[in-house]
Amino acid sequence: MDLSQVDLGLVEDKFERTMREAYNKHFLLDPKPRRILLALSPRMPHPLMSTVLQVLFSSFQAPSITLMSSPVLSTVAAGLRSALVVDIGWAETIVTSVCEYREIQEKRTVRAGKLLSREMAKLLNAELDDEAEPGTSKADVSFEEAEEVLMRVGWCKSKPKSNRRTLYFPARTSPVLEEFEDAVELPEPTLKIPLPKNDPLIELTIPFAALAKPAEQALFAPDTPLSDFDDHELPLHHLIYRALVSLPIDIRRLCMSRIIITGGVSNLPGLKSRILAELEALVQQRGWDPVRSYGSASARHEQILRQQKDNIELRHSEADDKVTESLDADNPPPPLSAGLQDPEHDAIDAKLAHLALRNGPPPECAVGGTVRGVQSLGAWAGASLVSQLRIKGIVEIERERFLKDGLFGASREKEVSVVPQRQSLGPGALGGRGAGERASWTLGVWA
Amino acid sequence: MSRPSARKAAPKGEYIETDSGNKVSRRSAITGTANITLGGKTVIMADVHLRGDLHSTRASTSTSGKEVTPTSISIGRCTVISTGSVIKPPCRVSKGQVHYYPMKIGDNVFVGPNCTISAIQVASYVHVGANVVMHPFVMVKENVKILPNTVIPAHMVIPSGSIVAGRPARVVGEVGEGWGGDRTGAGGGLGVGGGGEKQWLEGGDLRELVRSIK
Amino acid sequence: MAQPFPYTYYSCDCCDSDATAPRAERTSQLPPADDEDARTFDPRSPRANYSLYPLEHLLYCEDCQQIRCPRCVIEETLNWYCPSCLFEVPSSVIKTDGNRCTRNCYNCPVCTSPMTVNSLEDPAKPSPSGGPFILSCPYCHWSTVEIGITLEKHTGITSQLARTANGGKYIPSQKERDKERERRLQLSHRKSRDVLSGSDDSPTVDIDTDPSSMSHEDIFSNLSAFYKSQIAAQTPSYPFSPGHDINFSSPVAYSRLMTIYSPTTSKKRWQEKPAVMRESSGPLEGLIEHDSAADNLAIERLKKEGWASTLTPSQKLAQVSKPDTRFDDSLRPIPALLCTKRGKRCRDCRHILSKPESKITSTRYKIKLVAFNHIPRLSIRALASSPSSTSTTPAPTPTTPSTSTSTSTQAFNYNALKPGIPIPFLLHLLNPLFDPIRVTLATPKFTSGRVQSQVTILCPQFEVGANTDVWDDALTGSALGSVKKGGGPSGGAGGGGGSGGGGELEAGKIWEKGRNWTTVVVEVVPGFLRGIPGFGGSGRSPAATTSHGHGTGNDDDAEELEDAEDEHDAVLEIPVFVRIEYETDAQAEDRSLVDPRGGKGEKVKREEAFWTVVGVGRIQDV
Repeated sequence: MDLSQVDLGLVEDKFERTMREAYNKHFLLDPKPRRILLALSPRMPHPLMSTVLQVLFSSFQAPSITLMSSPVLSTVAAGLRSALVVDIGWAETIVTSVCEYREIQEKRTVRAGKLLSREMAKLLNAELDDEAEPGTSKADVSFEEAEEVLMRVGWCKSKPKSNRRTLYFPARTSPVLEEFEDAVELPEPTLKIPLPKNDPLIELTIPFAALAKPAEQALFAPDTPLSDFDDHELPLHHLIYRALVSLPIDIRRLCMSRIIITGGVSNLPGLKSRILAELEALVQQRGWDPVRSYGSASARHEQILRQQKDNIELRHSEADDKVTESLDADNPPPPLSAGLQDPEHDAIDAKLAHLALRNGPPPECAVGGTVRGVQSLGAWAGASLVSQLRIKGIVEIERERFLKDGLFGASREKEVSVVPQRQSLGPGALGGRGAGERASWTLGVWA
Repeated sequence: MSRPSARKAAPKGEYIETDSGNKVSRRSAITGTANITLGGKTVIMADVHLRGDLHSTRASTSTSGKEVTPTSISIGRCTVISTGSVIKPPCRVSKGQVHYYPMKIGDNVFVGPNCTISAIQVASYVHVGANVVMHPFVMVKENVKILPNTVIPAHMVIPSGSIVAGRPARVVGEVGEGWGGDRTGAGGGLGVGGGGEKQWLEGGDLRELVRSIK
Repeated sequence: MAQPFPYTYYSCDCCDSDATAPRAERTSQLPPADDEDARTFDPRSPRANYSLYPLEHLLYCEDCQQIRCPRCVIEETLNWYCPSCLFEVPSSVIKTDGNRCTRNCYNCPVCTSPMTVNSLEDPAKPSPSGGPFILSCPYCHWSTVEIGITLEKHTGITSQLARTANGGKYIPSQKERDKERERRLQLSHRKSRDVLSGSDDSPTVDIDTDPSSMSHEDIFSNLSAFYKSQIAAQTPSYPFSPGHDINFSSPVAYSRLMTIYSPTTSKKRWQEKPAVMRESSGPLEGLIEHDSAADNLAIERLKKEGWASTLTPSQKLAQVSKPDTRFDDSLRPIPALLCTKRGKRCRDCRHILSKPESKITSTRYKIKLVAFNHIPRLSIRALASSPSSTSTTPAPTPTTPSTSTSTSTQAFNYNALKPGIPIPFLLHLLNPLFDPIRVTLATPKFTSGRVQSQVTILCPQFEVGANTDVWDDALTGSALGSVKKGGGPSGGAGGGGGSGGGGELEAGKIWEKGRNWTTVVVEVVPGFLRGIPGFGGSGRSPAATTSHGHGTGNDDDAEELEDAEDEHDAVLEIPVFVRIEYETDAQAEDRSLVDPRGGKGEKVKREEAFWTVVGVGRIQDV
C-alpha cells in the first residue's frame, strides 16, 4: 500500500471518530476496557498499523490487542483449515492461500470494487447521454448513485458458452442457468432506475443485460488478450488460477476445493458462480502447467491435454459423484488408474478403513482436487468465533509495552511466531492453555 | 397561569402583553382561548395558529355537575412560538369517534417559523428549527435540538439530549454537556445587552429573547 | 451538521501531539506565545475538521487547566436505556440480549421511523384479544403484512417476532435448534458408522436442511458448536466428553504424544495423519458449499421485479444479522438500538469532568465542568449598517438563519457576502470568569485556501470585565454598566436592546463594552471566487492552488473533489487566536500548577490560549 500521499494524522482523526461512534452508538460497552481482536490484512503497512494501535490503546484504553490475519479468519469462519481466500475488496482483490491456518502465498489485482463502480458509472453516463437531447451537458452520475445501482441491480453473467477457445467440460452449472442463457427474450427485459440526484428526477430505462457489463469488464475483461495485462491487473479467474498453479501440489489439492470468495463485491449475484466456472474452465484447458506457450511443441502439449481431458471424462462417466482425484498435470494418472479399478478386498485395509472412519474425520474433510466454492461468514465472524472460543492469538500486543516502545518493541525474529502460532490453533492452545506470559512479543506475519 | 383572554389593554403595538408577561401578537390566530394556558413571558408571534378549540371531549362529559374547562394546549414560561407555526393538539380516531388529547409544551422552548406541531409533549429547553413538522403523539424530551425541515413521524419519542434531523426524523447526534449555556439565570453567563441576535442560545434560557421582542 | 452562519468553533489542541508519541508527554502546557509563533491554525486543512467543536461540546479540566474535547476524554457508560420506550436496561440484559430493545420498540426497515402496533380486528367478528395485530410504520405505511407476519398479542413483540419467519412460518427457538442439530449430527454419525463401505455418499443427504435457507446466525451457531466440540474432544480436561470416545488408539492421543516428544514433527503431522482438529464436514457443522442456484434465483428476481423490489444500501445495512438481504420481502422490523448515559473523565488526569444523574428521566448532572464557564464565548455578527428591511417578520426563506428571529439584523444575508467590499463584523467576547480578563486576539491577514479574504481586527487587545453578580451591577448603577462608545442606550442590568448604532469604525478602539462583555469590530474583505485579471491580492493566488491538493492524496479522486472544492471555497472562515490573561485567587489545589510568574501572593496570574474558527458566511459568486 502506498502511504506516501496519506496524511496519517488525518487517518488517525478519522479512525478515532469512527471508533468513538462505534463504541458509543453500537457496542454500548460497559466502562471496563475490553481486549480487542483486530482482523487485519497481512500486508498492513506498519505506519498505518501503528496509527490504528495508537488510537485504540490511548483513546479507548484497550488493555491488549490481538492481531489476526483476515484470510485465516475467513477460513475459520468457513469451518476449514486450509482454503484459497479470494477477498474482492474495494481497491484490490487479494488471493491468499491458507494452509492449516497459515498464509502460504498472496497475489493481488486491482480488479475490485473501485474499478467496478467506475465501470458502472461509465455505463450509466453513457445511457444517460443516449437518452438526453443533444446539446445538453454530459451526464455525470455521482459516486453514490453508481454505487447504489451496482449494489441494487448489478449482476454478473454466467460464463459465456460461445467462447470456443475453451475445451468442453461437463456442465456443472444448474439447469436454471442454462435456460437463462439460451432463452432469447423479446422484448429485451429492461429496468427502470430512478436517479434522484437529478432535478427533476430522471428515470433511466436500461436493458437488464447491460447491468451485467460492468462486472464483466471490471473483473473478467474478456475482450483483452491475456498478454496485454500488467501483473497488477490480471482478471480474477486468471489470478486465482495463477495462485493455484504456483502452490505446491499437495496444498493446491487442498486449496482448489476450498475456494472462499469473500469481500464486499462478492455478493454481486452470479459472481461467485462465474468465477468458479471460469476457473474450472481454465483448469480444464491448461491443466497445472505453469508454462503457457510451448511454441513449436504446442501440438504435443495439446495432445497431452486432450488425453488428460479424455481421462477426466472417462472418470466422470464412470463415477459421476465420486470424489475425484487430483487433476495434477505433473503426474497424469495412467488411463486406468488404481482408483478406477475395483479395489481388491484386503482384510487389513478394510479394518484400517473402518478404524479411520470411526476415529478420523468424515470423508468429506478429505475432499480435494476439484474446484469447489465454500461460503464463509467472513473475517469478522471468524474473529468472533475465535474470540468466543478464547483462543489466544500469537500476535498479542499489550498496552504498556506498546505505549513504551511502539511497534519497535516487537521482537524481530519471525521464527518466534511460527511455533506458537501453529499451536495457537492446535490442540494445546485451543484449550485455553496459551503460550502463557511471554517475555517478548512479536508481530508474526506483520513483522 | 393566566389565560390570554385576560389581556391588558396595551398601547398599540405588535404584541399584546398580559399580566404575567405573555406577549401575543395581534396578528396571531387563536381559537378556543379558554382551553389554552400560557405560563408567562411566552411569546406568540404573528400568524401563529393555536387550535385550543380542539379539546378532549371525553373529559368534560365525565365530570359531574361542575363545569370544568378542559385544557387542550398548555405552554410553559419563556417559550417562543415563531411566525406562521401551527399548534394543533393530536387526535386519534377510536370506535368511529375523534378524540383530541391535550398538548403540553414546556419552558424555554423555541419553535421556529412555519412549524406544524401536533406533539403530545414538548419538554423544556427544546429548540425547534424552521419548517419542522411533528406528527401526532410525538414526544420530545428535554434538551433536544430539532434541525430545520425535519419531519418527525407519529408516536416517535425523542430522548433528551438528542439532535434530530431528517425526513423521517432520526437522532443524528447528541447535544453537548454545555448545551443551552449557563441556565442559572440572572444573565450571569450570557451577554446581556450584547446587541443583535446572539444574546440568547439555542436550548438556553430564552428570557433575553422574550425581552427583546417588542 | 450544517451550522447556520455565523458560528464559532473552538479548537482543542489534543490532536496536535505527534501520533506516535505517547500522550503523557503533553501534560505540560506550552507557553501560548510559542504556539502563536509556531503556526497559524488552518481551518481548511483536512485535519481541522477533527479538532473543531462548538463550545457546548467542550469540557474543561480544572486540574490540567485545559479544554477537553470529546476526543481527549474517556467515556464511561453509566446505564443503558431504550430511546423509544425510555426504559432502563440492566447491564446483565445487555450481556445476554445485546444492544437492542427487547420490549416492543421496532423501527421501520424501509424508512427507520418507529413503528406502532395496530389492530387488524375485523369489526364484524371481534376477537377476545382485539387481534390480530401488526406492526406498521406511520410514516411510509410499510407494515408487517407485507412480509406476511401478524401478531397475536400487542405486547411481547420481540418474542413473537423471534418465533415467526417472514411469511408466518414458525421458527424454532435457539435451544430447540441446538437440540435438533445434536440429534441430526448423532444420526449422521451413526449412519456413517453403519454404512462403512458406502462412505462416499454424504451422511447428511437424508436431512432436509437446505443450506441456502440457513441464516447467518444458524451457520454461526453451527460453526461455533462444531469448534467447541472439536476443542472439547481434544482437551484432556474433558476426557469423557459426550459423543467422542477417546482411547489410546485414537489419532488425537497419538498426535498429542507426538507433540510432547518432538514439536518439529507437527509440520508433517497433518500430511500423514488426519488433522489434529478436523475441518467441518457439512452444513450442520457450518460448512456451506457454494451453490449457483441461489445466485441464479436472485438474478431471475432482479430481472422480473426490477429496481423497486431491491433495497437501498442503508436499508440493507440496517437489517440486523442479515448482511446479504437483497429483496424487500426479506425485510424484518429493526429492534430499536439502545443508547447510553455516559460519564466523562479527563484522559490525562482521570478526573471526572461530567457525570449525569443515573436516573433515565433526569437531565441533571452531578458533575459538569463545561468549557463555557472557563473560556470566553466568542460570537460574531454583521454590523449591518443599513438594514434594508425593517419588518419584524422573519423572512420565511430557507436562507435565513434560524437564529435571526430578533429584529435588528434581519436583512443581512450571511450566505451572500459580496466579494471585494469591506464588511464590518462585530466580534463579541463574553467573560464567564469572576475576574476581569485581558484579551489578545490574532488572526492571519489573509485567510488560507484558494480564495483569500482579508481580515483586520480593529482592536486586537482589550479588557473584558468580570462576571460579577448581576445585582452588583444594578446596584452600582451605570458606572459598570453598558458603556457604549458612541453613547448609545446604557442598558443597565439588562440592556438587551443594544441596537448597534453609534460606534465608530476606528482602529484601536473597542466598539462597545458591557459588564462582562466587550465587542470589537472585525473588518473582512471577502475574496473573489474566480480570479479577476488585473485585481491583485484578493484574487485566487496561484500559490494557494498548489496547497489545496495536500492531503487528498489519491489522484483518482481529484476530479471528484473539484466540485466540492468550489463549494468549500465559498465558505469564509476566519481563524482567530484568543489569548486571555487574568489574575485570580490562588486555590489550594492549584498552587502546584500555577504559572511560576504568578509569584507567591494571593493572586495568581493565569493565562489561557486557544484557536477558534469563526464562520462568517458564504461568499457570493459574481
